[in-house]
Amino acid sequence: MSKYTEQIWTTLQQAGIAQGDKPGKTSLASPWYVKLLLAFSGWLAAIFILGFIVAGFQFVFRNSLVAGLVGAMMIGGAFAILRVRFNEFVEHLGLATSLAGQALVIYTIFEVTSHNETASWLLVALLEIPLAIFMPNFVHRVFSSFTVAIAFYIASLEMGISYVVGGIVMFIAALCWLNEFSYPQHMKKIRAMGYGLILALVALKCTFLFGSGTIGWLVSKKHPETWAQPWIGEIFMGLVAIYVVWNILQRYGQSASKQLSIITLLGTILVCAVSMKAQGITVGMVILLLGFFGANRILLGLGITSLLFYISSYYYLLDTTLLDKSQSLLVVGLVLLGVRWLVPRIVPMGKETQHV
Amino acid sequence: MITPRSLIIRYIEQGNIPAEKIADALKAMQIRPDGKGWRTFVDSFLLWLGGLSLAFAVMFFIAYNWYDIGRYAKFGMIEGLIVLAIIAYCKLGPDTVASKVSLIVATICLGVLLALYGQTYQTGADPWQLFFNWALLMLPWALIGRFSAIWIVWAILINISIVLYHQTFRGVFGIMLTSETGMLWLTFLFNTLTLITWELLTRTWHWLSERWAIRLLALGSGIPVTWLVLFSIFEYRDVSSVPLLIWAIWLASMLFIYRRIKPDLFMLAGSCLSGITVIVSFVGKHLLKNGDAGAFLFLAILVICLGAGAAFWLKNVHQEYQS
Repeated sequence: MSKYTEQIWTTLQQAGIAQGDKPGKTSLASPWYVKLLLAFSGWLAAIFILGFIVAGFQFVFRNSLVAGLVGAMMIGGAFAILRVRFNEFVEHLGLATSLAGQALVIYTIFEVTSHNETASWLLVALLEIPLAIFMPNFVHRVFSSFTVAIAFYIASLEMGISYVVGGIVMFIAALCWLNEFSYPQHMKKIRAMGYGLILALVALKCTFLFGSGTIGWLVSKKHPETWAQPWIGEIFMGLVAIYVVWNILQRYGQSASKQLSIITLLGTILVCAVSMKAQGITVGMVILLLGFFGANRILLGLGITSLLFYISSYYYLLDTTLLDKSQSLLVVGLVLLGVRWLVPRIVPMGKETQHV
Repeated sequence: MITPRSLIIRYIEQGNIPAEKIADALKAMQIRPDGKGWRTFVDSFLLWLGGLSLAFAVMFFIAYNWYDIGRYAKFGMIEGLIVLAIIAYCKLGPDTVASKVSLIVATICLGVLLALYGQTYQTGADPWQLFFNWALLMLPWALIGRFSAIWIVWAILINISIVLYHQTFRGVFGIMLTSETGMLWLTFLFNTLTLITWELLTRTWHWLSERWAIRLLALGSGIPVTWLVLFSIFEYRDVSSVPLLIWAIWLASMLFIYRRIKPDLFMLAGSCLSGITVIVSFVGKHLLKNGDAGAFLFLAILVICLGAGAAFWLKNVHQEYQS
């Protein structure tokens, strides 16, 4: 136990929060970049496993049901491996086997549905949901949650309602992060799903910005026109942002009628309203809020990176002129700086400390 | 790095903190920010996003090239903004968030001014010159500013000018680094030199020691050199062992420096990733010529072994850094 961890332990024990014996050598979870390494090698190994099946067992692909059966067996085997998890090698093996198995099952889904895109992608999402919940591996859960959101988005693209999916994903991700510590026995699960959904959200916003051309190879060419328009999606996301702010205020005991709550909620509505055209700002803001609420540096980093990316890639959005974009950003900038100037005058420094 | 958050999570998972005490633990360890923390966060968020939105609004406006507004008005507008941003910086003092935002806004507007100059007078300059001059002219502000973000902007501008320069001249002065991989060599050399200088200067100037900036530079150094080796592995015409040799030196230096001298797990993980990519590519190229099933299986096992080995080692190093 280092001096720092000992200090924290003593503080918690003296406050009557921590109980039991002093933990020995505390093994912390690996940092995100070590998990990324695990994900990369798992993904690469899965490709080679698939290559092995293609080269050595071609009969598997002659009958789609056989492919599905082999895939399901591989996923089942991976589940068993990851449950016992002897060491790093076994964990990698389980991850790679499961990813390769999923590829086989997805192949079967597309074959069985005769490449009906909507049905296929909905089934892919349905396949990944139980994996995100039950697969006993953090990286696997992140991957499966990410895939659920992406598959659901592609299916919704085929149905012409893709613009509302961003809001739904953002809402579920927000629920995960707001309740990260509410269910101690499911903390790991909730965190993994939260990361997967936030990553999917960032990726989805990129497809909004660059058009569905970024995933064009995955979807059919014609999408039906429906009631769901881009502005509905932005309003939906704005509502989620307001919900997140309201929920955080409630956690600090601020009822909706208090001055601080009213000002904060009005400020959020204003920021969401002016950034409706400059897409991505609301997403970045919510990720930052969730990250700051949980002292989560990864979310904070993701929020900053996505905001910088969205604001600079806004240049390439083709459906409006640069003059319109310039006006939108000018309004966003002036409103944000205006709110910043106004807030200390309405709620003087120090007053909010008493409130919260 | 151990954070109160990671420790609390571990204690909850181990059952040292009961469910009813979690809220108290989060409060005691300041994982849930207090009112002052929220005020600072919201203030920084509004300032940075507001400032950047204004700077980008000006950039987009100039890029639109609106003929209804004369050139003098455009020049006046941008120059006025730069002057305003610099006055704000001087008035706000050097180490505040607001002053840093002002300096970044002034830096972006400087680039817009150079672009407008080129757009108005059709100077015929190459695009790389715009970014290079931008980096050159912002140097005094970067020196005065003394914060990592502005130096990263400077490094990004130099990287862009290197890429554009190479696209224009296909080499340095038409005699050096004229191959297709010349651009990768140039970015690798620049980012590696910047990384070394940055690391050395952190001892004197502590404001440079923000890890995110150093790690970004390390990525700028590691990605090109890994690509160079991959090119030399998959290139059939011009097989050279120089990239492999340079990469091996780079990898050994990274592993030694960030394991022994300046512990940093991110750098070690990045080096492992680079190593796995190169080894698997090399073995894969030689084994997969005939597309044998056995070769695929061997590669899958190799990747799993390398990944597991790297993860095992990194976890041990992580544990060691904690104690």
